[in-house]
Amino acid sequence: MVISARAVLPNLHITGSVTVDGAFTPTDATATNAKFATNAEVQRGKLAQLQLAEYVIAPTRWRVWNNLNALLSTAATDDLGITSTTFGTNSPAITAGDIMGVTSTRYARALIDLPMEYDAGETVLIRIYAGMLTTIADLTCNVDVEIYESDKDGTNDNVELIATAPQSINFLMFQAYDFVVTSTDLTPGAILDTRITVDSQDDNSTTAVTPTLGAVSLLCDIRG
Amino acid sequence: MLTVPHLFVQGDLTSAATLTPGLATILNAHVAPDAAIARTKLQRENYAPVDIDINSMRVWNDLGALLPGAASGDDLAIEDNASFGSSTSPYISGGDVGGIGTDRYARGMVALPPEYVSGAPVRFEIFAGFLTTAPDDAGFLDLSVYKSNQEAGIGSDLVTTEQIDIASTTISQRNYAITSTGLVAGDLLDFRVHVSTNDVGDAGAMVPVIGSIQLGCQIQG
Repeated sequence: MVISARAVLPNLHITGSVTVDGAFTPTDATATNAKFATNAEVQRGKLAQLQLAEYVIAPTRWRVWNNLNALLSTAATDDLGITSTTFGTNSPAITAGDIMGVTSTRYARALIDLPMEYDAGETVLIRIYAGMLTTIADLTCNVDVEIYESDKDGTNDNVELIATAPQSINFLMFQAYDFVVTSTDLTPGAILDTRITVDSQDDNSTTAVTPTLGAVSLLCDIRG
Repeated sequence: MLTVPHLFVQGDLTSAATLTPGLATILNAHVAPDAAIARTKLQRENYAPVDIDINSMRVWNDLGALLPGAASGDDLAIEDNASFGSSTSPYISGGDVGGIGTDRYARGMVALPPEYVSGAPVRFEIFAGFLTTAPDDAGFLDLSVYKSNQEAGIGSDLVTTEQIDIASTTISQRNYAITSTGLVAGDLLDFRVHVSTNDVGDAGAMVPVIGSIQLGCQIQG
């Protein structure tokens, strides 16, 4: 049936199909799940972007920075450690150990992959929840992050992707510290070779000074 | 009301009232490139599995150590099956507990995924049982889960399911419910599995087995 141009009808019930050469805009909120074809295959790019979805990098995923075969253990020399406090009493955390009266620079390293739902080129952060247990250092305590993207051939481009300077965590109150990753060329599946550094200096404290990283997370914009 | 069998519109089709697409008619091409369909409008899936690599499990009171190759003392083990490609896959083992009583543990960490619906149901799904023979007295699997507060502290044990009897040679899924009130995507869970056994008769090898551990949670997207 062909109705003349600009026909205005009060109500219309169509028992068969409708073909529209021009625009067909369903009424808001009428496109329920049942209206989608079972083979609709709606593309990921048409889903809303969820900004800064959080992917936790558990403390148990970190390795000795210059020996990836080795797990973190007790903090010493240039290695961060992992706490193994009694299960049910405290949660595991990355620790720089008691740095009372010493100057130390300690590291840990992990390979972090961007998830398949990452929206290419969009925002990426590393968020560290950190602070000092018992006492703050009387001089400084900073946390830093460095990232190199793997070329997946055993090399990288030697381009450091972190745009944020080291940040002081020399507070008893734990809080989140964000490190912005230059994400212009990042895509899902990118492998980020990541090293965290706790750089501290104390020369006068009389009680334990323990920099602690309670959690480290990758945050990125995703779709789907 | 005008009823017509088919309608062909050369221009636009609009309505001052409701214009509803037919069932199963919307294809990807019909969705605007900038539709930005919100996650909350996607279908919820109950107990979507988040895999926990059992090779990543640690000694429960020494997180600097992977599980040993042989269970002993209070530690469960990872049976790595050096003969890769044989008929068995890696599993967490309680060792041969024939004729003895044991309490053995392993510990791991897992995060709730970004798709997790805040406060929605969460459970751990553990495939467990015994290889070869079941103990003649007792074989239980228990789970404890604590949420990290992202400092170094924790809350209370979130598991509401009591220990489950696994003294059977049928290895099957055991579910442990979690109090999920207040849980959100990104929460980090510190968990410990506990296998407790007792056997008197020692009627051959009897090995508690955990074949897999998964976090099941409700997700959207």
